[in-house]
Amino acid sequence: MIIALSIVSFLIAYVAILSITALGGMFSEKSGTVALSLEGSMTFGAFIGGVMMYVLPTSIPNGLAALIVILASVIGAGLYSLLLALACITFKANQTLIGTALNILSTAFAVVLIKQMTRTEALPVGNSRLNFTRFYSIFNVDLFGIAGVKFNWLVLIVLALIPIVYFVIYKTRYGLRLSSCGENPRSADSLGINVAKTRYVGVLLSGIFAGLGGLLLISMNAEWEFANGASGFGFLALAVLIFGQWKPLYIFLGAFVFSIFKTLSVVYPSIDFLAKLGISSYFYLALPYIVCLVVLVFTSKKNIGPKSLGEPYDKGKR
Amino acid sequence: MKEAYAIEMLGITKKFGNILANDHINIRLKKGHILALCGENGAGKSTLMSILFGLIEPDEGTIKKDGEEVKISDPNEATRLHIGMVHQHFMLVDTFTVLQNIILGDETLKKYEGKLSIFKKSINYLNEHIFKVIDYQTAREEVTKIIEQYGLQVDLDKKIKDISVEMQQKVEIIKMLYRKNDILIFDEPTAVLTEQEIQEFLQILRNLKKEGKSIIFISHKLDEVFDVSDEITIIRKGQYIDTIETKNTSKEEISALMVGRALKEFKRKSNKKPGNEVLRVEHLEMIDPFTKKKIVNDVSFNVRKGEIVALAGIDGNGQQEVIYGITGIQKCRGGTILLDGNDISSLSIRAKIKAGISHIPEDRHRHGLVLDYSIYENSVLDRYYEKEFSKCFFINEKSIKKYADDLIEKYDIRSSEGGNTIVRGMSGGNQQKIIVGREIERNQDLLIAVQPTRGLDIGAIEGIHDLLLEQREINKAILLVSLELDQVFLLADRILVMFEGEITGEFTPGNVTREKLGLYMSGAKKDKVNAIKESEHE
Amino acid sequence: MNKVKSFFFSLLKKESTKTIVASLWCALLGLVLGFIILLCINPKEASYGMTSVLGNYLIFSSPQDRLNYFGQTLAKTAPLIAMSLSILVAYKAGLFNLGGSGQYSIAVLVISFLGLNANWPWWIVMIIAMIAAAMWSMISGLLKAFFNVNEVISGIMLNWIALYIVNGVLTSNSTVWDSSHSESFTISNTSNAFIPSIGLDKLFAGNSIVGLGMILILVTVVVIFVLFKKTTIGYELKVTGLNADAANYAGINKVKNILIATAISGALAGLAASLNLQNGFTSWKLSSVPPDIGFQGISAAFLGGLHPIGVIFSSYFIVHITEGGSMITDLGFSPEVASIMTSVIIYLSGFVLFIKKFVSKHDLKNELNKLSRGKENKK
Repeated sequence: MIIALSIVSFLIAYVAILSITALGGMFSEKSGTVALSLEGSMTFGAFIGGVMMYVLPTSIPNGLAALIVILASVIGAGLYSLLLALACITFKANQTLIGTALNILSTAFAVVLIKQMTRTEALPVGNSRLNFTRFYSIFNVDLFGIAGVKFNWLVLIVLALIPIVYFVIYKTRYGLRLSSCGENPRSADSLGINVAKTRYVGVLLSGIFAGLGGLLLISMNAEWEFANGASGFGFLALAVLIFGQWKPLYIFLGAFVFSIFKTLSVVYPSIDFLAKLGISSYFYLALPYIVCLVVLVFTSKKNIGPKSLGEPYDKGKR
Repeated sequence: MKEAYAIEMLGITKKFGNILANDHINIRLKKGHILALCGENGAGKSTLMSILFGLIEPDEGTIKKDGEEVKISDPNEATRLHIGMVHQHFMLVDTFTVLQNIILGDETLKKYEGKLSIFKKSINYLNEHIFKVIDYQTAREEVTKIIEQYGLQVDLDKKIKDISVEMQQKVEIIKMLYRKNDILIFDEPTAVLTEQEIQEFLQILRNLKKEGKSIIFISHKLDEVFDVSDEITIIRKGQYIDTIETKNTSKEEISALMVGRALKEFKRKSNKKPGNEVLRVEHLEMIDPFTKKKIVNDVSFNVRKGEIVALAGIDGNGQQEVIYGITGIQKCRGGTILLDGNDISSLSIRAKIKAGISHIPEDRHRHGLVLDYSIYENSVLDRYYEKEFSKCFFINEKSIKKYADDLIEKYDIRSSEGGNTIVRGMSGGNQQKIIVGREIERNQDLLIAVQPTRGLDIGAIEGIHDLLLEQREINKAILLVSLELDQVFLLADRILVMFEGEITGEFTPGNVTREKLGLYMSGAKKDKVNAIKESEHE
Repeated sequence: MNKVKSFFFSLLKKESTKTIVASLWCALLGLVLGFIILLCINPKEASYGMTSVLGNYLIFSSPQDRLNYFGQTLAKTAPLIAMSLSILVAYKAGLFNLGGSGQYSIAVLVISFLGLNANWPWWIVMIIAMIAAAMWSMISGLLKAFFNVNEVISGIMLNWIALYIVNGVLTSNSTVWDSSHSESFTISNTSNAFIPSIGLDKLFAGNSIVGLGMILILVTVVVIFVLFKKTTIGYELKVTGLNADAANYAGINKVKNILIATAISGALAGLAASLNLQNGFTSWKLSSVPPDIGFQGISAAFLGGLHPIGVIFSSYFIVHITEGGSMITDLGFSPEVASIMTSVIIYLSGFVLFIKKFVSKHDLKNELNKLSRGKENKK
């Protein structure tokens, strides 16, 4: 029973991480900018959050501390994503290239700074692994009071955001105009919509959401090795976005599907009959990615993405 | 008593590089009237309307609305002045519904209609400035009113990609009406419509006029022009020719004014009897991949040795698609293509090239050249794999250099670094010469030339004309697609007029006048033509 | 005087000159930014840190040591050159190879078994590794050609799948896996699979890492250079990448070319693995993320202006500062500082393309037109 609840808790957490990051990517891509730097934004958000968790003194009460950490992660990642926006929207750089650069940069930056912070006499080179036991217990509470089943309440924030995102995209002016910039920026422009500004907002939102996802990811553990970045979750989120056809509902479902496999890779030893099968743990780890590829094969034939995705908008060209 | 002018465009001049697109043109649109703007391709009509809609700024000239001078710097300004335009290529978002497309950019926001006034004020304030939730219900009601008033039936909840082109056009019109535009511009509105749809469209125009709108529409199809317009303004080669009241003129007079009198003394080409058939096209049918409309309908013709067959007509009547079908760039829905007696209909593009087709494409940047390649590399774009230019997998640079240098010499291709020049930096004319030279030098049985002299100066144009006539002398079969009547008269042995995807007229330069050709090109006259001719050699 | 001026002008406006200048600017800015970061981290030691990053082996006082480490740097450059060529080939054909890490990983797997386990001769191991990597890469190619799957995403997915396959298979075999160190065994220089040093080691103070591999990579660079400059294959790949419509017009087979590009790309990534492992200085360390080298290859490729000769220099540069960076760990700087610098450089290179495009459109055209008109007048 406890095992089952633990598994569910894990699953929901993974769903939350993938959903929120993928939804962030959705804002970016729906307005026309490729979201390849989701991994980088997640890492940066996790990094800022992690640093906050490391440095905040115990004198600050738990509630306030948690708030500071969340805000820092989210704002930090948002600002980081502006680097992408600047290069790709204003300077029309190659979006894949910039995204890759930002991915590498965030991990390198995180490692350098954290190693610097963790230098001690005994360990002059520092460590890129951060410990945050205090915050682990702040963020992860006993589910329904049952010891042994941990539940991360950040998940609730994320899950609450999902219907809000749905509402914004489908019911508000922002959503309509955002989508138009990614589908037909020329039309949007001719109707008085500021395409560049809208795209900046799209990228900014992707940073903010990915940052939250990154924070949620690391807070599920008592420590995190930052040399691993976001462990590939950013790329999985990108796959979820594509697989979810850039629609919030499908993204959520897609996140669910992948999370099942991700959870499986963590919890399978506790499931008796699976453990007995003796399949290598690496198979389970690879499974989400294999499933992703298979799904992409079936869903990529028709280009269903935003029409102008990846194309910088040039006002001058008529 | 003077009738008020809704729009006056006075002395409008616009130059693009060396080309004078608009030369001191005057347009006057009377309030509540429909003005047709007529002219051949490249006459300057689209440029003029783009200026009115704020997409382009004129070099000289003024625009007046209701007698007052205005400056239209961008489309937003035009919309503010209640000027709206429906472009040839619609500005719609495919994945949005009709309703969403109509209100995009001008969305009505939800208003709380409850009892508590304090609540009402704050919620409305919040919604207006922060949440911006769209009120689709009210928008729907307003749009429905417009639909009923003007008789523009559309399904508001269907996505643009799922509705017909005719419906899409209606959406564009409703967009204009929703923004309370009273001056409406249409650029070739019936280009994408069927016969039946055109009639419905013309009725819509009449309804709009009844409701007090002032309309300018660009068209080269005289049937429609005479059906709905009050006045017709003719523009030719950037110059203003005349404005005539429709009821006081005839189609013959207008098409004559459109094409103008022949100005040049034509060079005599030799009297040649065409030989055996090289290209045979039978019952060709092609569908536009986007609109799913039949864009080439049962076209049959042949081209024989030693003759130049010209597909004439206003741009967009299927000529380009016929060429795509023959060369394989686009798939044919039906019909057969035979080259030297062999059925090449289903061969790959490479196989077709090898079978004996040379192709000077219409769009030199898109199809004809790799802009970042040098002249050397472009000179063998469609033949680098031939024995002469490559052995095994290795390119024979020396022979390509020699070949390209010969090309540069023979065709007078001007460049800054000779054969090593990157093509992107060359002038359009010289780029075109590379393609023309390359394709002629291939010495294939069939030479297809689409707008071969586009962007060239007089000297170069004459040079190309000489080359084409030379090829004709040595018994090549040439299929020419041209939008310039001068060129057609000069070069063609047979002229096939295309209108709305069909061949509607077959002539020789000797037995037709420009005016008569103009009639066929504008659809005022149509014949049913199967343009396959026997060899005239013994 | 005018002739000299116009020659100089045309040299300046030449594509290659602009690219080199732009790349140098990027590198310089990247270093400056890196230095600023070092300053922020540890102001006292920053300048010493920067010097050693820039100086690398020059830090050492004895010429023996210098040569030794120079040799090491050179030997480590070779695999990066191979990886950047992999990226370059794909990019020229219009594809973005983000799957380099995965292709590298698969090759590592093959090399480990054939090299350690079966002890086959080095050149056979290398060839088979390259073929295996090529096949892995072609999965992305096939998915793109037939199912329109974006090669960026498929590449990334395959990176992770490869990671787990390699981790799983290597750890299960005790002849290749050194469980006490959590890494695979290094190929020793007595093994058949070790790339012979053919006496080059004497040049570098007995550093046995330097060897035939250096020659091989230079040969490869030449092969790729020749491929693009002088073969029909290269010609077709470039057209496919530069203008898909013109490729269509010319009858070039799109599917064939995607497959060729991905195959060559993968093979080169495999070569990188070969040069790393069969030189004995690296092994496969158990990691939870795909190897870095795939992304470093992207950095080197773009910094090198996407030119086979250029990537030699950019790869050397990146390895140079990375090695330099790894020497300052005792000062509290981590070797990742070099990664910061390289990723900043890549970020900046995105702007450079914009500047080049901007300059090209206006100046280049005008200059060339002026010059060609000048030539016409002389006629």
